[in-house]
Amino acid sequence: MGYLISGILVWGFIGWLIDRWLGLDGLATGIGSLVGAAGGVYLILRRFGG
Amino acid sequence: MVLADELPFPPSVEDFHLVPAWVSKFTVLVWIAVALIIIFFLVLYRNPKLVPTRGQWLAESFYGFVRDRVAGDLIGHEGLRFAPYLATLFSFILLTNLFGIVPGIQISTNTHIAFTAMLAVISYVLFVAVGIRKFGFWHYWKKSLFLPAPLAVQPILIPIEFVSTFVVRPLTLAIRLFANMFAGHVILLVFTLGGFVLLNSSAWFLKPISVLSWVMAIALTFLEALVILLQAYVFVVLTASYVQGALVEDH
Repeated sequence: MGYLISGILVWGFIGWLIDRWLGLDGLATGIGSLVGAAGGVYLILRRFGG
Repeated sequence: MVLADELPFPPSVEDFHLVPAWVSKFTVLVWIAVALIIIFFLVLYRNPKLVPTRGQWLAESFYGFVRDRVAGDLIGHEGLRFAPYLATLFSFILLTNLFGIVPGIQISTNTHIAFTAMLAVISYVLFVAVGIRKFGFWHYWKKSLFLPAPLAVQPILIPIEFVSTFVVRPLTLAIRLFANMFAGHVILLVFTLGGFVLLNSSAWFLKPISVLSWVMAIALTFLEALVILLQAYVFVVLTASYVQGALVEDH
């Protein structure tokens, strides 16, 4: 749970910064959130999924 | 009706300030809570007997519950030395939470985020310090940030690990307790004061509904009792599991 939220937060925020930098209108924020969610799920599986 | 006229409405921040400006209701309540806990354990454990009296049994089973069920089961054998802190934390949060439904007090200090934030900071410093003391500074960081994973995805995972362990944990610890107690307090306030507002309304058909509002307030007080116990327990269990996470050897 914590992993998922922090994954989306961290990479969503980095994506948002890239958005601001390159003027991408939220594209990088979306990609970043997805990457973060995927990373969070991966960490959860790694740590709790045996 | 008379009661409703005396009631300060709407409630404001000024209600919390007592006679000297620097003493608020919360300050006094925390003093009372600390004093009560000290007196409770000192008096009941002043003269311990092999065959415990009822009071001694109460104090012992409270401490024993935290030591065995929380510290022992969650952290393991190493966790027993944290039992005094966890028991103190549990009794303090439980008592200050309980103030929220004690008639005449009816506000918990944990409805103020400063108190829950301070408790979260203590737990945070505790689990980081425990980890650093056991593994050394660099090993502890390496242990908590690196999971066995392909090298290519490590740059993605390490920031997530960092934020989830060192940023989200203390924040959620503080906000969970604060938000639960604050929401409970507001709900009780809304239904109690709402009853008075309905009773004083000019439309006659709204007046009987005030009874329903007060019945709801009483029912929700029982719900609050459950939340109080649960949130105190959750805070302590999470602190214990964070300490366990800092102490665990390897994944």
